Amino acid sequence: MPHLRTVGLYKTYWLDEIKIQSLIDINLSIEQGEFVAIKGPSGSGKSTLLHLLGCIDTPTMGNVFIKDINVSTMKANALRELRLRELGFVFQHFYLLPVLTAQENIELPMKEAGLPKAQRKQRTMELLDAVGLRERANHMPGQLSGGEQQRIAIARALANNPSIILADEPTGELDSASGRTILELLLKINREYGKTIIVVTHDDSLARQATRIIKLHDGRIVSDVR
Amino acid sequence: MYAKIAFKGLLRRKWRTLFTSIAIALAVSIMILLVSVGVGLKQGTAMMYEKDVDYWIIPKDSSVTDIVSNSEKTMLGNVHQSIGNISSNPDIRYATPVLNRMLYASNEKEPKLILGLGLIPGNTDKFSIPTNNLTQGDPRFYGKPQTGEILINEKTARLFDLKIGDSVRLGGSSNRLNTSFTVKGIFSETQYSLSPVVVLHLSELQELTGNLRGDRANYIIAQGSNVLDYLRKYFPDTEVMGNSEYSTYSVVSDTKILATAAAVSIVSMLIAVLFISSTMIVSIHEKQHEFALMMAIGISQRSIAKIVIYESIFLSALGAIMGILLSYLGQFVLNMAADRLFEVGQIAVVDPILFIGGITIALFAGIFSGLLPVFMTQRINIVRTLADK
Repeated sequence: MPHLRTVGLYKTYWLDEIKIQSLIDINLSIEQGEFVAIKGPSGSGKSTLLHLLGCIDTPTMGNVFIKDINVSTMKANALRELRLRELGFVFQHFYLLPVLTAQENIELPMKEAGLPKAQRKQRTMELLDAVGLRERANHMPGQLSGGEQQRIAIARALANNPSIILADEPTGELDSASGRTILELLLKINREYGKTIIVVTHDDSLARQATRIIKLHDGRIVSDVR
Repeated sequence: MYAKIAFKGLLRRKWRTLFTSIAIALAVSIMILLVSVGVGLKQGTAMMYEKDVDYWIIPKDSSVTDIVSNSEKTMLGNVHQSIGNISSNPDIRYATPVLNRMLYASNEKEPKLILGLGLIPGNTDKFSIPTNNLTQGDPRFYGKPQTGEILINEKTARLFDLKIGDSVRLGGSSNRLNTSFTVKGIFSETQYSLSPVVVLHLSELQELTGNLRGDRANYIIAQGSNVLDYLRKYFPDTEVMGNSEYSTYSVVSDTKILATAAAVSIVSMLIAVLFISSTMIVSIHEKQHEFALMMAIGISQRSIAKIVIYESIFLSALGAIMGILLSYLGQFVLNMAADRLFEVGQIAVVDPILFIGGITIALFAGIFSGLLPVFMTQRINIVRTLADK
């Protein structure tokens, strides 16, 4: 059973009065533990596909299946629960909550999932260790470098132990050294924790490390190489 | 954690938080001050200083604070006998019936209406009226000659140019000013009554005003401790209240004050809602990326709503606290100005119930003001908002 599957996925939106076909007939099947890089030029539909796979957007037509459950027919609250427990997001712009410390940012999804405080603390420390930032636990995001913020964002994505990590250009805003650290971290999450990782990237060095590269052009898959 | 997010969100925008809180504080303090002036003016026509009294025994459907409107209301009867009985309780240090009546007074000048306060002088040092200067007890009631002794406040003294030892004639009407009384003491009007007041033995006021038959008085006051239940048993058909209950009762039982309070409360609440809503809408607009991110990682609308409502409530609570402090200051300034400029004693009396009212209004405003921003957060489109970054 594929971990994640799309069937005849279309996404159309309107920009003023112009109809944009962002995704056209996307059929994908991703297995548990794959490290998938999605590449393509700007406007090719990479991020749109990631948003549909991550259940933060809905397709115009077609279906997305996660563990063989059709998520395209799910109600908003069920999708939110799915995002909370099964999916972890990493964004290009780090997106940590500026008023919470690194530790609290990581704890937030666990709190929402109803994890008791003691367990939250323990899990947070484990995740901080995993991303190598235990000593930065009580720092505010503004006191962290870009690379450190992104590592905290990755730790947050792992908070509720999701099976899939979705990353939208996670190294896009980082210098090459920080980018390498993030890449190594994603590889570690994939190899050691067995998480399925789907990364949208322009970064060739990151894409080369993936077990599979899907290329998009004008909303269509033009190559899918393992 | 959600409360922390809300609180730190306010701290992040210190100046906006401060100015919005000041605006709410102004609304709350204006509400408190307007109502407190109403209470103050009402107490200005009252005959009894609240702090002198531990227990109030009031006929049902009556009020002790408004002598004019109270004059024809239900009264207590056989009050001397009641006082004789309850005074035997060792926990009651002092108790007296009180009769409030308008009187005419004259000393060569044209008769003028003043407020008469009849009571039974007793041995108490907790009374702001120096009743020790009067013959103790109420000898006239027990068939002895009239004492003819009175105490007056400074306003009466000025009005009739009286000093201790002077005489003044009192009567229930302007053409029956036959009885002469001697001034035995003058007490301060500050913090007491805005009106000219004369204090005399209860039975002598009863005689002047036709209340001797039936031995009637408006209410009974008592000083003591732990006798509330005893008094309630002894006076089953009356309202027996401790001083804190009485403070609330005296405000709530007055429809004019209630109407004023309701009107200014609504206006204050509208002003507070306007300010909090404006601030919250701007805040939601600024933080929509954060909310979109939270929604993306699975944080529920309910949790996001909590953050918004907490922020709104914190803002209103801060405004309420500042408003209460401001109203204290306002009360002090108003009373000082009234006393220095117009010599009318205190005109604003801030009852603790007004603080509760101010906090309640601010908190309701906070919750109400949070509703629209909560609705706005529900309209956030995650993808579009995050893409805008």
